[in-house]
Amino acid sequence: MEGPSSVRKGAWSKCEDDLLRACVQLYGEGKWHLVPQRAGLNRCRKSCRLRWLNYLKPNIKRGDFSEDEVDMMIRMHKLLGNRWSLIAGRLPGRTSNDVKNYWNTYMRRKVYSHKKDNNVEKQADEAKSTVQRHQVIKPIPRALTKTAPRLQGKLFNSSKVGVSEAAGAASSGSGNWWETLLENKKDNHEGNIINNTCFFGGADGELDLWDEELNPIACDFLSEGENWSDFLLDL
Amino acid sequence: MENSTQESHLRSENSVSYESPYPIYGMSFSPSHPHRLALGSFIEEYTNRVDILSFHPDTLSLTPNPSLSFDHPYPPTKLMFHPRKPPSSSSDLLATSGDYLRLWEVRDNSVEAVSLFNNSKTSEFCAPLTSFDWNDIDPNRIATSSIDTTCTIWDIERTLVETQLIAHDKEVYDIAWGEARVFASVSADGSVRIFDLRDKEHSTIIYESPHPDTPLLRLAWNKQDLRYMATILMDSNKVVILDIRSPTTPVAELERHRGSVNAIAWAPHSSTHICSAGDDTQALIWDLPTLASPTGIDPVCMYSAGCEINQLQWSAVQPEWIAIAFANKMQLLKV
Repeated sequence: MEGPSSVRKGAWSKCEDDLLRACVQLYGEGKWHLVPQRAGLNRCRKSCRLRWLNYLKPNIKRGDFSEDEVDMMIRMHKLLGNRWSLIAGRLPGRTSNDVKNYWNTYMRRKVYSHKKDNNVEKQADEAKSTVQRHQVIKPIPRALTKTAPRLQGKLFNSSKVGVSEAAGAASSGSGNWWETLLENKKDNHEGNIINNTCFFGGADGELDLWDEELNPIACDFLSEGENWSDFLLDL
Repeated sequence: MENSTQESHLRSENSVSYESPYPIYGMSFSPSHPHRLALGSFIEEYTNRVDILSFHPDTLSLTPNPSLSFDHPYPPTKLMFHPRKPPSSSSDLLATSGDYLRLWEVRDNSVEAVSLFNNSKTSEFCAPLTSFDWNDIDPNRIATSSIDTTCTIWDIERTLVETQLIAHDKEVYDIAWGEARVFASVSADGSVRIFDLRDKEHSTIIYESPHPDTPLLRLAWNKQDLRYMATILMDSNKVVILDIRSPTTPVAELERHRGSVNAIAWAPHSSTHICSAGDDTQALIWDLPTLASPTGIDPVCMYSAGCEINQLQWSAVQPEWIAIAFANKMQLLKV
């Protein structure tokens, strides 16, 4: 058995690269402890594995990191810290070595400075200045039960009174949104515009149908209110 | 353009098409510039675009304005113009959501980034935002919804958080104002909840999806009649109509789509009309009846696009036009 001192170190030659590439093509990745022997390389298995994963693998991307990649790297580093293999896993074609080197070369000193177009860059600067303290409130959800049968008549005959009672029964202490919403009903009714133009109707008959469908909207607010109440009573 | 039925016969005087270089999702009509539309791209990468188009109803044409096109990081999840006319200015304000809530000033020949809103306490990065709504009664407020289960109320002028609420148990997918201090939201937890900023300690659940793990995706609050809301469930062909006074039981379920529903919008000028669009390539307009029908409700109008419709907007300033987005196309339909 060869002694440790005879294992080659240092830069890989083209010949060695070719041997390693051929071996992985033939046997696939993995079983790195067998690769030096199979490939005829005088290298330790770790060295073979790293050479393949960081340099020879065909899908490895060369060239500068793109804007997208840098942005993703920043976000992932914020989430994961210096876990380069996890970060590289989200950057197709980039190795953990590339990510680590890029970060330590460009990012660590500049603390998250990176290219963006002018508008976004300006807004990004604002992002830092707007990190702020404020309280996050967790409201307690209430699930209102169905309106009690005894209230149904009142609710639909007189919306105002009905809602007040329902609010009182269902949610004592805070029924504001019920009342204010209903108070706005009248205002919302203004601006109700009828538009009889129909794009979809092909035949004249269907066009007439469209007009007929729109006619009920022409009723005044009280009639509309009554109609809605009738609709609800049938449920 | 495919026509699956006779009713959807396409006539050139009733629709206008625009083909974008990229898929479209976010859309907004401008209230202050009646012929202006914003479109957001949906490219699953960092670099995306927002384009501003001009609509000419007399010539039925849509023209992009290249000087008003700008880069936007990530696909905008929602676009919305300022709900009112700025007092003494010809420019428009446009808000976009995505990695942050961002505010842009749309001028005559350029777009300027105005503000970026960050609600994270510990980081320069904000949890991704799924949607937002601009309060039209108090336009200094925008409410955003996020995948981190929170809803945030922003003070627009001061670029600050006014309130942040842990609104739901899971991701919050959409949010809508009812009035100045009342909003509602829908979530992956399957519930519709109403919040009143005057009582931040409580919220009210007014609907929960029938199957506990079915997320609710979109919410539309009827601005003509605040008693009614509409929501849609994930992978469902139903549009669920809710009456906030009659909690837990929908007043109607519209079930004529033959695929998942992706978008809903109430008519801005009628309290009983709602439009829905979905994976069956159809946009349907419904007229909600005053009496419940045992056989279910049929739509009054139908339009077929060439493929799945992802987004829908009903113009408030020109209520005879509806915008739909499918694949790379945006189409205006006259109703």
